[in-house]
Amino acid sequence: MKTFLNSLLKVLSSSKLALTLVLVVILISAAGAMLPQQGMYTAHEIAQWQEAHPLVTSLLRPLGLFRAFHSILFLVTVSLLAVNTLTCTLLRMARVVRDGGMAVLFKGPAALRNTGFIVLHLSLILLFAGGALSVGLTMDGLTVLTEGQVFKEEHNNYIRLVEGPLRREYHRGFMLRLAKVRVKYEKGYAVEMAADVETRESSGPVEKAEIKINEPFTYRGLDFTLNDVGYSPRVSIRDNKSGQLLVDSFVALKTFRDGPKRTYRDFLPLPVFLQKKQWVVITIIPAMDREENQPLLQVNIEDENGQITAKGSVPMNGNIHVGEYDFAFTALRRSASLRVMDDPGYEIAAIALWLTLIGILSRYIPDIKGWFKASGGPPF
Amino acid sequence: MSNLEIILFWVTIFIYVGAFAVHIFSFITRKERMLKIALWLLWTGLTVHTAVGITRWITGGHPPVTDTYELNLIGTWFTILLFLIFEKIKKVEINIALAVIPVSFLVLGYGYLSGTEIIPMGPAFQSPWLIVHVIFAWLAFGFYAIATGAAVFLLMKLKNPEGKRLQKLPAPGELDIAGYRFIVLGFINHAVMLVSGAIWAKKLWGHYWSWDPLETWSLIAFLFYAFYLHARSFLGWKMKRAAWLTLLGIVILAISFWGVELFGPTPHPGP
Repeated sequence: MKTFLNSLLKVLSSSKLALTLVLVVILISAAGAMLPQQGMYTAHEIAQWQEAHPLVTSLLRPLGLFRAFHSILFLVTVSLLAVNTLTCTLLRMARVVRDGGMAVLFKGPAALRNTGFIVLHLSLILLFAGGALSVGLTMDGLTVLTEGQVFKEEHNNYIRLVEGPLRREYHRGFMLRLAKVRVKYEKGYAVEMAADVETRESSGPVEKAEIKINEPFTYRGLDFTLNDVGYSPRVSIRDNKSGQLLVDSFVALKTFRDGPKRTYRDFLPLPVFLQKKQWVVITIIPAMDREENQPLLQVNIEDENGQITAKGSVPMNGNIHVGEYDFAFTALRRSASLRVMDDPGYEIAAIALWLTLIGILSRYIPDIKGWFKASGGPPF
Repeated sequence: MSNLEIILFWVTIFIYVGAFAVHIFSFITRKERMLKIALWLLWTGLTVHTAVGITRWITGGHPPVTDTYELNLIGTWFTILLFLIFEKIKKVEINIALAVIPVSFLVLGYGYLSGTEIIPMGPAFQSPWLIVHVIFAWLAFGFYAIATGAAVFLLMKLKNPEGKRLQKLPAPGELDIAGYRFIVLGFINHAVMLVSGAIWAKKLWGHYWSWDPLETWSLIAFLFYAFYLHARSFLGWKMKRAAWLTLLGIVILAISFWGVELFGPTPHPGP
């Protein structure tokens, strides 16, 4: 038993295993960076790619490489690498201490190098731990709000919500109101974006905050980062035969940028349209100079193949008849998309990242000093 | 791009081309005096290159680090500067310039072809982490590029040890050590770049690591150089093997800098 454990320890701590695992991580990462990944691409895009590359797909799909960084192969490899790093570091520590006592870590010519090596490798373990916590316990949500709209922090109010497999679902239930969106443009490019928000519990005072790109707002452990800003026209749609009101709400549009040009568009996936296999695509045009003063709403009705069957455009406070419907464009507000994150692994990962840097510097600075001091020897 | 910047940019290019031509002439004819002229030209080119960067900064109203042209302009400036500083303190073999100059020239040309219009600095770039992230990325690139130069000459010397033109170069063992040392320096800067990028990403996107293609390629390059350092320490992979690993490393690094969009879109702007 002891021999078996010794052999196992030897294998687990071997540098050859470490190098092999690093190579496997490199290969999986390269696949993850080159293949369309679930979560980044739509299922339709991935299917199209797979259809165009049948051989690669048949080889790599069984390995889970279209979801490379969540695949069993990747998780097992990284876990093994963590075990390898830990055993290797502990054995090295034991060896150093056995040969020269604990003092070797803090005194003598190799002290900084030894300490650096150990700090570097232990910080990698910490990084693996932080990463594992992030993967297992993170909540990553997305919400799009129109000015004046209130968001209650609950599961169903997110447009997209991804939670780690180990996370026990828990929502705070507070209210967040988007008060105002501010954008400043130069030469057609946004140079400043900000969202003024107000938070409120079921009872209690209102707290005001500003969220800017690069300046998230943290409330009750949730980080709100500003993803993008756009427009929300208020659109009323009536069936022009029966006069039945189908839609009367603000529709937050996605922002599409092509250099300094912008368009804002989205489609209304309402049951009434889906039943008829229709899409109603709403666009604000043109992007540049009319949006504030003379916004124009363009409506396209498309069939299931994306063919436009009817279209028209209407200025603000106007009505238009398109296909079987009457459209009214009654108001225009700005909208903001906010990413809402709760990542319990971040603090650990951040500490680990700083320790990794300290470890690398401690490991190599004595060597570098020596290289600079050496004269008449080989070139640097 | 202002008229002054256009003139300074092309003057820089011509001086670098001149420095390379003189250097290669000196390498072929083994005339030592020409080397000094090549070096002088390289310093002059770097001075004009600095002027291009300053002009761009003043005209654009922000540090030139927001698009491919600007990033490549700064990146090549760092690479040439690093080389010249290390040459000045006699810590690098001067002929490595024969690898560094063409790489810098190609990077500059690619940047120029990708568009030189001045774009206002978007909100995503308005972070103190931008400068740290970009500077250390290019310092890493500069050190790795010099290591690649050493690896190229090492392979040439190993292939043709008696070659007359290669006699002036250091011994293969010295080139091997030089390559290793520059990779260590690149690795340290690469680590700072990754750490600063992760902290910035947390502020910008809410998550410190998203596995987007650019950051993944950057991690792949980092892991590859970590592999190099471990293989060298624990398996004794030196000389020829180390040189080939160095060459493969620069290819991976080049993908992470310029090739990511070949495989698909990325939200992460790179050079």
